Amino acid sequence: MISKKIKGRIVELKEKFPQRKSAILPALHLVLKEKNYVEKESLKEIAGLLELPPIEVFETASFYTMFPQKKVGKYHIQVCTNLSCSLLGAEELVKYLEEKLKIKVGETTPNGMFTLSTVECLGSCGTAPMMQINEDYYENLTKEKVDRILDDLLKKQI
Amino acid sequence: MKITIDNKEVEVDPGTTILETAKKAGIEIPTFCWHEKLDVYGGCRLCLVEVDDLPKLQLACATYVCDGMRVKTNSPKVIKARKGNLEFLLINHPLDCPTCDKAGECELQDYVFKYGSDKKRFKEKKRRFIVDRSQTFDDLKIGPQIIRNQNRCIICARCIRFIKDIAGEDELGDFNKGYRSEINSLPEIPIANQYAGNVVELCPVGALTSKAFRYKIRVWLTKKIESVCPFCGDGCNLFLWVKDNRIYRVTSRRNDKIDEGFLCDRGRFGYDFVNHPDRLKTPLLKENNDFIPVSWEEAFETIAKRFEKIKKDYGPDFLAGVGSPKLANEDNYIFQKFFRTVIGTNNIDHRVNIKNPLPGSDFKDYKNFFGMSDSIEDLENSDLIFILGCDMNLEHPIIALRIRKTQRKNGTFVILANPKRTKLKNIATYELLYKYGTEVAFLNGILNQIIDEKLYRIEENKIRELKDWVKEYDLDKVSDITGVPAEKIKTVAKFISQKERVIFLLGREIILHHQTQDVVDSVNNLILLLGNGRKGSLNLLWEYNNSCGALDIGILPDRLPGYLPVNDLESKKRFENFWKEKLSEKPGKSFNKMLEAILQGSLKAMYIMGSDPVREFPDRNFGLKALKKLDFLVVQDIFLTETAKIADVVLPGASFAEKDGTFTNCERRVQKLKRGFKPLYDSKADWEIICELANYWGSDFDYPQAKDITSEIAEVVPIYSGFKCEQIDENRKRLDLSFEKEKVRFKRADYKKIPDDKEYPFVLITGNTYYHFGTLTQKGENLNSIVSEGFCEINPEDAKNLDIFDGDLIKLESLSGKIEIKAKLKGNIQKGTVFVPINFEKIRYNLLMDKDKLVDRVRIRKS
Amino acid sequence: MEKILFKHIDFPEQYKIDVYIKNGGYIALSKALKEFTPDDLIEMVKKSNLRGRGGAGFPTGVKWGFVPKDSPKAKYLICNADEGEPGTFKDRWLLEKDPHQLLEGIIISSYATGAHLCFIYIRGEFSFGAKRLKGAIEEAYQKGFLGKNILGTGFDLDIILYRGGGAYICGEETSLMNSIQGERGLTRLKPPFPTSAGVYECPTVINNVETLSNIPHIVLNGPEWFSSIGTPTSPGPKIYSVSGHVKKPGNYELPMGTTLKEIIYEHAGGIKDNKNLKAVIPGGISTPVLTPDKLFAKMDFDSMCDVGSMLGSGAVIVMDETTCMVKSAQRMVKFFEHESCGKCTPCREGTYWLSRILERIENGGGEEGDIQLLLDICDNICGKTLCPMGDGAIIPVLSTIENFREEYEYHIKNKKCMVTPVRRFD
Ligand SMILES: Cc1cc2nc3c(=O)[nH]c(=O)nc-3n(C[C@H](O)[C@H](O)[C@H](O)COP(=O)(O)O)c2cc1C
Ligand code: SF4
Ligand code: FES
Repeated sequence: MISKKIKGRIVELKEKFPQRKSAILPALHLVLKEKNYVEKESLKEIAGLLELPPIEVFETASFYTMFPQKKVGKYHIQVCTNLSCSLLGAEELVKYLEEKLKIKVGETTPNGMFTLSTVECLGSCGTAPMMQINEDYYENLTKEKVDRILDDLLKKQI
Repeated sequence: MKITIDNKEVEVDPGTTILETAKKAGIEIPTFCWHEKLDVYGGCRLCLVEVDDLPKLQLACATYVCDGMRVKTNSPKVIKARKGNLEFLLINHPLDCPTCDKAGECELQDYVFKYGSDKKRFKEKKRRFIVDRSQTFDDLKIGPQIIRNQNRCIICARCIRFIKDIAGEDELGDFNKGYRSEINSLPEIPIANQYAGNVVELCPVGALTSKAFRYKIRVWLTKKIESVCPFCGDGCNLFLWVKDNRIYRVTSRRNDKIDEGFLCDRGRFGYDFVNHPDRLKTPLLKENNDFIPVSWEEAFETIAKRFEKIKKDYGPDFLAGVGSPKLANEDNYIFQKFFRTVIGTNNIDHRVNIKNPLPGSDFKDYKNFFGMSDSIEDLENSDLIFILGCDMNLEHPIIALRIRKTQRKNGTFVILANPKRTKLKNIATYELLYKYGTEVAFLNGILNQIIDEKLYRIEENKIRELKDWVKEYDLDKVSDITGVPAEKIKTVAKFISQKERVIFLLGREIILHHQTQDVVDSVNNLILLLGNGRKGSLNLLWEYNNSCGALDIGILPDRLPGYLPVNDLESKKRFENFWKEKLSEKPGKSFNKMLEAILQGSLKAMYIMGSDPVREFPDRNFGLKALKKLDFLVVQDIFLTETAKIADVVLPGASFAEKDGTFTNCERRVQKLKRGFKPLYDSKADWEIICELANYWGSDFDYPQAKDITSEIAEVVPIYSGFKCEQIDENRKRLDLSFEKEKVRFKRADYKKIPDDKEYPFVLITGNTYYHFGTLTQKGENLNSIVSEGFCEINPEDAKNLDIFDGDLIKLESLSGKIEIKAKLKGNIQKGTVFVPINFEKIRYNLLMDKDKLVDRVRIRKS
Repeated sequence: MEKILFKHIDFPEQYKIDVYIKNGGYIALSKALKEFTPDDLIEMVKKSNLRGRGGAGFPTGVKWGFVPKDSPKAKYLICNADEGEPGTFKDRWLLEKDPHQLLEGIIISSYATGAHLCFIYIRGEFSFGAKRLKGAIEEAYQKGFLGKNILGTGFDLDIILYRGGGAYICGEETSLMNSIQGERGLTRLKPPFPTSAGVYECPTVINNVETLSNIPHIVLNGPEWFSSIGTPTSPGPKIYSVSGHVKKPGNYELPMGTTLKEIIYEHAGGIKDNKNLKAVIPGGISTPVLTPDKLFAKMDFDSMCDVGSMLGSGAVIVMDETTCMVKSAQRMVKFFEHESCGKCTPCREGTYWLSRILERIENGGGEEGDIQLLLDICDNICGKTLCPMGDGAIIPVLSTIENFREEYEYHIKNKKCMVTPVRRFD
């Protein structure tokens, strides 16, 4: 279920663009920000709120990588493994995270805290290797830095 | 412009693509995504050709030619690209041709055969879209009739473009990105729109196949028979794919004048009634309330004896014949000839579902009821299409597609005026929802408004009378009667008068209206008023596949074939000369008058061919009572219909697939259908039965083949004159009804108030559904797999007030009877009305109807 | 060269409108709206010979000139801030650190092209950048630089910040327009070109962030000044994003035509750990890789063509001697396979195939004939796709085979890399 607040904002989007369909991506972003993923139920709700055929929302959402339809953890760790980051050890970073979190790429930790993904270039090649956790970028990574970042996130939890 | 293509010089007009030019020169350029009826897509990249000395190959489908262009379609570069492209399409293709329904007519198979390579260089794992791991085939049912195998899909997007652009539906989409792209529909919204089946035909490969045809037969074993759809009045052209007396599937036989290669699902999947096991197999004779099979001789003898006796005892006018708008012209022609010559009566009709068939005595009165003055193609040359009392998608799905097309391509405006919300709404400029039955008030309101604002282009002095007639229809009053907001009437009046070429399309609501004549006159008044240079035209869209033919051919009590009055001496003489028999000049009875006559004792025997009045007559009790009182009833049909059940003799006719003949569609285009196989069991073509009966009687009905009847029709029926049966198919000619174009005058038409009824507050509207037509289609499995059960559409607000939920069983009651039916909440139904489909045998909707009521009303009770 | 686009890039709080104005911002806007007609501005930009910084280098003024003057339809300007080309991170800096410079450029360009609504299509992942831009847009509205009757000149403009959803192809202009329309980002056939039928079928101008950021400076200093920087055919400043095996990766604003050698060794500090240079990709991964003997080459549109590569987005990716080129090619092709929109056959299927073969070679399954096969597949893609992405996708394969064929052969024969890559993550 999309929260009432977000629903209100999605409805506002209806009139914002020259054509209503344009509101799909902004609506997806609103939902994504709230829950880290956009499951089928939400897609249907978006269609209802924007008064569009559901299929149009599903088609659009499926094209873009940012809107996972399956539940992801509270923190979605996305490691860039494109060329510049790979040159500076991105693959090792992924392995390190897999070992540390005891999950494989694409999986979520049993406590629902972390999901690990690899992604294509995030436009931060000058500060490689890097990763994105939810909306934030973490750059120039080292093992110590990764440890600290994850620790901080866990601490924030408690 | 001159273009050189593979060393051939071709002359073409500017704005032609390379592909079209090549076609003209007889050169094949392979294509996948390109389709003549769809927007250019440019995705498959198979059509690349070499142009001038450009280093890059160019798309033949999307590149327009320019003068002096030199194109090579089979240079080494082009051939390499083509081979490479086909190889790409094959790397992930499952190559499961042996089990693919499309094998034998697959474009991928054909192109690879022609242009592909025999080497396999792809050694990797193929991409697979797995639906169910336990299945070998990755088949996914995405609609009741549509099965998808994504592995075979080449992403040409023909299906998507058809569904979205042409049909305007939204049940099919393309999902994901890149090599993971797939065609799908949402599980909770399967693809089941009325045009869904077209995607199977459009798909160049076996990615989309139909459940109906799946794994049934290899296409190359079947024979392809040219035919015409036996359902609605659009008259789409079909191929029947036939083997061993069985239809395996139906596909479109593209006719750009009508269907442009598309069919609705009724036509595409509704064929399976033909091979239904319940078909009548032999003549039946009723004995002690039971039917016993008899030979044709026995049946003929009984009929001849009984008819002869009644004729002798009472006179020929105590007999009557009922023909059918569903049968072929040849059947109906022989039928009326039999009644007019052998029996000697004009008691002939086919309009069993109309309460008030139009007045018969005045010749001119028929003029506007002939059908369409425009052709379907003409719709594309209009500025405004005004649809009145017609749910176009239900009644004429293919005309609906044409309207969508012209709106999309030419920006033609569309106005909808209906008692319920219809599908074309999403392309309409204005939609006016009026209260059921108030068309005349509504039209007069528009007339009055146009006069008021002086928006007409006709001389003042010519409209004095009209002005007087309509002046009481002021906006407020009309708005009050019709429920259409005054402002809207005003806007629309202005809008119409700004348009130059306006086409009016009137549908089922008007045909079944208690004021048909008045509605038609009002529309004529409007056309006249717009006048001077502006062109307006009136089209009455008859519903059935051969409604126009039945009218033309004289299945009417007061008209000989070609609308010649029975009491016009010259016309009578004309036919007497041809038929070598004396004819009665006494007009016969229309069907409802026949029923009255039975009850009065002045009609004793009836022969009903291809109609089922017990189901269709808009007053079941009355109809049944009358028909049961007949001394002798013969019913000729392909199933044991409700009417057949009360007959004394039942004769097995043949379906449209089993006979030759012609249908005349709603725009009066005469089209030939060919026999796919001989009549099943011991049945016979309808015309053949009548001929044999006539001959049994001692007449000389000498027609060895259907085409001999067609020739006679062409010879004797004035409006069909000059028709050659052999040629019908090539020229697919449309008949011109330009005879007797007398000057149209303004005619007075006043709104007849429909009395309120507190006891029975809901107006009953009936009609066909998207998936069924008449009652034949629900015999078959194919369409039943989409919808198989009757329902009553009701406005959600009304339902709420009555505490009714979707799917609840409810009772509809009228003074005459009651039926039980499932409720279906639909927002397109106006408050205070309900819609009941006529297609379902179990739903006896005409039980609720009363032939003497202007409008049928019901009340709703929860069951 | 004095810095132009980056002049205030490190200035504290430059992203705030007051700071931007204090540093001389929005003067160009006032000048443009008050002293010039739209036609004047188009002429001015034509004269400056500013070429698009999004990759193709199309002259910006000429593009603006294509917008039909008499069309009854609305006109739109789109700022392409999708920055997806791997190796590129210049636009992100520009819009995060100096968003008003971009906005000022957008407003002037909208005025010049007759647009009253502008979309900034920003990469979905740039949430920080989006936040910054959103703030900047709000500030600009407050100050009357956006909205109705801007600076009392009667010119109206609204800006909609539109976030993408994570799809590289949406940087391609027709795909981008479909994306703004809320659809899947499939590319469209051209013609019609965006300037005649773009977003919502209306005339649309699309320009890159860096391109638009140059506009205020051209208005302020004149086209002659602009064309005096850089080379005659590629004038102006250029931001080079340097990444990979260098000591000081980062964005460097330098005149067009600066040599690769200067960029890598002077500005980016040379090769990391003082290793030897093996290869450079000069303009993002859809441009051909160059070998060290091409270091003398100037980084501008024409000079790069002369040495068999392309300027692209100016994203310099540096690879040292420990880099396996097969692996690099495989990594790059995988990207294109993932990012193909799927509309056209050669790109969709071709990248899938290339990717599978390279994976196989990388994993020790290479077979004789694979190189020939790779080249032939590339040939079957080359020039046959709907948009330029197909041609971009084969470049990593073609250029690495051309320059490092022996590594492929070694891989296929010995089932392993010729070099042992040094992992630097610790
Ligand atoms: C596959 C592909 C990806 C592209 N990605 C971007 C991009 O991320 N950012 C960008 O500004 N231009 C990108 N472009 C170029 C745009 O299509 C377009 O040419 C550019 O935005 C025009 O702006 P300019 O004239 O200012 O360079 C891309 C082109 C292609 C073919
Ligand atoms: S399903 Fe058939 S028609 Fe649709 S995209 Fe695939 S190949 Fe084309
Ligand atoms: S037919 Fe031309 S690209 Fe498909």
